[in-house]
Amino acid sequence: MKKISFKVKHAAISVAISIAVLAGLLLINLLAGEIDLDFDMTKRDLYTLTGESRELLDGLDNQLTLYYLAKPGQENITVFELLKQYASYKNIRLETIDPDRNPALISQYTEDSGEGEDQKSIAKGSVIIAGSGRSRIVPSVDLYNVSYTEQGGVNVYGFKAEQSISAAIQYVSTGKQVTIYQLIGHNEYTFDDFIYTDTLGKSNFTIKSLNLTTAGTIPEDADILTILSPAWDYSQNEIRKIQEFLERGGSLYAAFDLIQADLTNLRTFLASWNIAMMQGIIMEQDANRLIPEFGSTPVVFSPLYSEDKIAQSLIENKQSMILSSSIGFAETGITKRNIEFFPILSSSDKSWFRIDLNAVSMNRIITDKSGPVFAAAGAAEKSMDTGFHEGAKIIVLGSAQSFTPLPNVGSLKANFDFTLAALGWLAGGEKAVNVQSRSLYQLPLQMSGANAFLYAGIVVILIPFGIILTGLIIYLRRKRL
Amino acid sequence: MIAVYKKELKSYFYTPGAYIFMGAFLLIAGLLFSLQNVFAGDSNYAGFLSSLIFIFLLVVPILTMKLFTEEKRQKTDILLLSSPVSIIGIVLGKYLAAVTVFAATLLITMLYPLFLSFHGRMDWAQIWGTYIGFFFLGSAFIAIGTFLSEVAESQTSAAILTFCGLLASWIIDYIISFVPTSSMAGAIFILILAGAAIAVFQSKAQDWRISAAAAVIAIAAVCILYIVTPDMLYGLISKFIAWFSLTSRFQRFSMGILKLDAVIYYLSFSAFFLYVTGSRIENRRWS
Repeated sequence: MKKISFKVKHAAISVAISIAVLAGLLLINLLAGEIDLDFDMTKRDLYTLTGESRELLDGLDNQLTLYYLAKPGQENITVFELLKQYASYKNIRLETIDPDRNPALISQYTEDSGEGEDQKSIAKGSVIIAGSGRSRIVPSVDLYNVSYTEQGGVNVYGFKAEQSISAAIQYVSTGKQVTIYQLIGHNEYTFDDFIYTDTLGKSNFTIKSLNLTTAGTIPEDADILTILSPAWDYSQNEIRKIQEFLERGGSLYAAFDLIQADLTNLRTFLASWNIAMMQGIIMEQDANRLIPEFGSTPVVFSPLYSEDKIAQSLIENKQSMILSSSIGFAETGITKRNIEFFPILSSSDKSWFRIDLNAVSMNRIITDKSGPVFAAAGAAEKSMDTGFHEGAKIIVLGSAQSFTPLPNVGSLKANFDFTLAALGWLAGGEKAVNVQSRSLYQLPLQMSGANAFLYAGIVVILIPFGIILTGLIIYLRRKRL
Repeated sequence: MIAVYKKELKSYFYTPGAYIFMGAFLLIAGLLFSLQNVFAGDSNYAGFLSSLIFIFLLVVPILTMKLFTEEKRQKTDILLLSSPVSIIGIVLGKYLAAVTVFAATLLITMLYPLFLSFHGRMDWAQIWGTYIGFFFLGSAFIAIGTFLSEVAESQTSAAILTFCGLLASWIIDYIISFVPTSSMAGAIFILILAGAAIAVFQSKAQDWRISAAAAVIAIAAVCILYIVTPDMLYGLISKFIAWFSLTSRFQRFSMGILKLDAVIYYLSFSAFFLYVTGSRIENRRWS
């Protein structure tokens, strides 16, 4: 048998060791990838699923696939990291698919979801949630909170991928949607007037209209009723139907405007839920809360957030709502113990509440009541044993017109986000995943010009040149030795 | 190893090398920091650290160019190789000295967020995460520089080679979008890799029969793979290239996610280049 030469032996050993080292390192990397241990160090836990989503994923009993539309190796890491968290649950599978290579697959889900969008509009960066028989597309634009500058630029201020994806998973896995019946027959607004219908649909809300005068009863599938600025009062019979619906554990979202008509029945009905509807108008005087685009008139103002359950993401994102000609609310003098009243939006300490609506003065007059006044409030039934909210929930708002596109400023994102959060809170329960979007907003620095120049001097001149000078001295000294 | 480490560290601070590296790095970093954070009033410090990567590409060659080329120039490499210090000790000692200078520079930049914290709220956990990532990324860059310093014959060529190598690793993310993704391209890519490995073997062993046999086996395996599971080969080139992307893994740190697999990746990346450096020295010792 021919002897293997030294060169071959040496080369073989050398190549074998190199391959072994490479294989070992690869193996360690693969193992580390399998363990997938990570720590979300962001202050707002941007990449960690919230308890709501975890509960939803734990309760899934059917297999779902998340298709992330991206070219291999070109995934958006921010979204991909979040999707991997979903995929760590046993009933969720994550697959990255190239939209250019899989047009048939994508068009199948486009048809399934019934969104009628062409393939291009759901292309890269979007997520398809597919289950047995149902699917939903979450377009890439629905993964972030964006606002547009006057010059047409895009400003990303929040991350709402979890909000959108969890809502879609909820729908695909259960098929359930929160059904909102918007009451009509009193010249009310509808969600179409607010241009909200499309986005509410993507957040698992189904909007239907209902006329309580012609309808015998409130349908069984109703989760939330809305009363959006009625022009005249509801009848006793209509109020009775709403009351019965609330007693069954339903929810009500009621927005009003300042009108001349007498709303006695609605006022009495709300009082039975500890909410006093005050006839008058909130006038703000705090310059920080007035809106220059509206000539800083005291009737248009940016309200303060009085609680953080509903307004949490608005507070985090530093979003300011605008309310125009708002009526006020307060807690009734005599209250039912099993109903908790809580303010949501309010005017400042410097504001007042005008009762005499014939007065035209923009300054405070003697009949005005001192602020703050609540521009939005809530009431929730609570268990006397546990203290938790159980049963009916109500949110009332003093200015419905602020939710229509406003002159000079258009449709306000903050006002819409508030509506979405309010409806999410009202829906609660098993049908709605009330995940708040996460703020990407970072507070600017409060630094004087002198301080800025001082720090710039230290980091640009003192430190680098100090080091170079030290090096030069040491070098020259050693050269002389 | 400790002796080599101490000697190398002393040589950094007794010669202008470390001071030029630190001065240049901190000057550009200071300028960027002033423009991006101080004068702009922006508290996003993690974003600033991410933008430092490109500067680091420019200054790492200054730090690593002399590691082995200086020994070759002064002919002290013969002394070093015949010393009782192991090859791994030599490589690690030199590498860790360079990493120490880098870490000291990074430590100085920690003054920057401290300044900002007097005037706004800082996301400290995210900043620490980004620093940890930057340290590992920098250590991997230094490992590439260490290897190329061993390969090069002069400091200038070592610096140029290191800059090119780091630039290549930096632009990988941009290259990915241009590489072909088809299964056929994936199959051809595997064949090219196999061909390269066989060529290396052939250059060392000079045995064309074994090389030819290996080539036939490689072609047959790729053909079978292409026929049976073409999907496996789809996008293979971009996946392969993405695996070498040091900066894409850093993005997770700058986002505030501390990932074990990214840390392991950087450590093993550095370990691989240090191993290859050691292998070359070992070959030189016996040649």
